[in-house]
Amino acid sequence: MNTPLLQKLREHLASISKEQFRKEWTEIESLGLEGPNYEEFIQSLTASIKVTDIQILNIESPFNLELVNVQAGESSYANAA
Amino acid sequence: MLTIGYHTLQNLDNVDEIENSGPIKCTTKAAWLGHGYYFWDYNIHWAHNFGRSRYVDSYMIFEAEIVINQETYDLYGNVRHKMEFKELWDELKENGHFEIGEEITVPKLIEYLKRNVGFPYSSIRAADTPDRESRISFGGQRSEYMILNERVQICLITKKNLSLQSFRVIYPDF
Repeated sequence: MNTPLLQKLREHLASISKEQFRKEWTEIESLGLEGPNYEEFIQSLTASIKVTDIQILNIESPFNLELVNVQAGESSYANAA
Repeated sequence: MLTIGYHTLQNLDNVDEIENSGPIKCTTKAAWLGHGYYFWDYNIHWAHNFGRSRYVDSYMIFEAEIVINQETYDLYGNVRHKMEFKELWDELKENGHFEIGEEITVPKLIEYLKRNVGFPYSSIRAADTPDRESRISFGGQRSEYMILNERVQICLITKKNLSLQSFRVIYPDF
């Protein structure tokens, strides 16, 4: 995959020194932001979260659907306001 | 595409001021998509949930029309954006000069792109997996399922995609 944004990131990282990167990343760290890490992010894309309870819906359906309640563990972040 | 966004704030008896000035920018550690103006996408349930959990009963909810378009980095509904975001992550991890114990997270990557690379979007949309979610199983022996009712948020980096004319309080009913 090659997109303009990816290309810009590659060019930026290739053009700066280790010291410059450390300066940039320290600024980012100083913001103190909390959010999903790599594993949690991938988990959210694949929705591979733990099933804790299954409840059969009392509905007529050609697909024999089930409503499944799942526990998402600690991957819960969309609560900013 | 036009959607309705819901913005929850503590009720400080300043509804007129907020309606006139617009949403409040989130710059706290909770800004999981980076700094910006946060709205829950269409489902007001999440806005009430947040208000009750954070401010008990003393909260306000504002609604507004928000445009989802080519200026939206859509990590919820755009597969290309999702694939690109993973590659951006991998690129930074591989070629950044990190120290032991440092971790790349979603907001850190977004803020790094915004501040150092040039992020060509004015909003970001993404979802997470809240405590209890609803899935529709395909049934039978199949393991596949479809998730319903994801908690989707829109983070407006600028107010460009926000209709300020439509921004108004809807809870409580003043």
